[in-house]
Amino acid sequence: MRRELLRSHLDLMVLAVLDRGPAHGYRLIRDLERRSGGTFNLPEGTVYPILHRLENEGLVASRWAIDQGRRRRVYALSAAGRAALKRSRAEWRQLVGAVDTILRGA
Amino acid sequence: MAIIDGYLDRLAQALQAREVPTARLLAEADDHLREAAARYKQLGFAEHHAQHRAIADFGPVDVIAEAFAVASRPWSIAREARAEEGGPRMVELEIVGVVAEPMSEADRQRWGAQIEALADAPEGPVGVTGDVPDMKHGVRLRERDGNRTLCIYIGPAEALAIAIGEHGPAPPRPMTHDFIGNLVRSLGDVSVQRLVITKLERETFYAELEISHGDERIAIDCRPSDGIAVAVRLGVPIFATAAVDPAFEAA
Repeated sequence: MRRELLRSHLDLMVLAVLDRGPAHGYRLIRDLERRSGGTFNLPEGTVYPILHRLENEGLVASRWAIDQGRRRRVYALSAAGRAALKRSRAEWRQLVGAVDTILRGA
Repeated sequence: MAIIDGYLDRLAQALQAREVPTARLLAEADDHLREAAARYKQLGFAEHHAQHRAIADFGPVDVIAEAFAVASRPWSIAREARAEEGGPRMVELEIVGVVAEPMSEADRQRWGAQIEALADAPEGPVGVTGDVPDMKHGVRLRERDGNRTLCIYIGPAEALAIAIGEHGPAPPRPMTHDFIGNLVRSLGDVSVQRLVITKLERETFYAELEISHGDERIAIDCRPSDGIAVAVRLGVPIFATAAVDPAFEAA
């Protein structure tokens, strides 16, 4: 898939994956890859800046945790993040519905 | 893990060059790369192949560092401008004013040669008479945190545009730089961040107008005169890079 297309919806995808439970960066990226059916093909390192930005915006909270003997930064959705996800999800469905209806008619 | 360690060192350097805090990202990248390499090893890759693959998936150092620089916005212009040991140094400038001076003999000769060349060109512009103007125009800028000044010679139309932008009165119809300013203001998620005078080459100054569009930062090549005329209309700061330093005059 074209990278710009993917990139512009990455915030929403990251929030949606975190909605299933807290995760550290590596696991979140593996989840994104698996749940997108392999469509996710951005440099994996670019997901971290997104996580940091979402945290600055208050949509995500993070803390250091010891997981399998390693110190890791674990990310979780905040209440504001959950609300933003709900709103964005509704907008996304509406948009996809509208575009799809038009494309079918074309 | 020598290959991964080397990558992390380069990433640290690239982040430092962009003045992005490194500690947390490096810890995360380190953890990520080791885990990714371990997975490739489980899949049967030799140690060094596993490390290379993990790095390739993670992305080129500059791409990642740039993504971080963008994500750590809103960037503080003051922070970027501050002289940092070993880092690129920029000085913020303010406009002293537009100047008009009589042409010196050297100026007249240089101008005369240019005008003759234009007038003689087979498809040269119509109406070039070969007259050398009497005056030359410039804009004088001063360091905000110092007394040194910088004079950039510019065209009369641009000098007028800067003077009007600074002091008014607004022209009855939008002039070119008013139009450019209005154009930028009308675009929702586009904003001009600053003008940077980047270099001086063969008596010509170069500048870039830095624009942000969503997460992207775009630098647009321009003449300093056009950039300054737009900057005063949009109220954005003006900077000069260290490359321009030799052109400053002591107060």
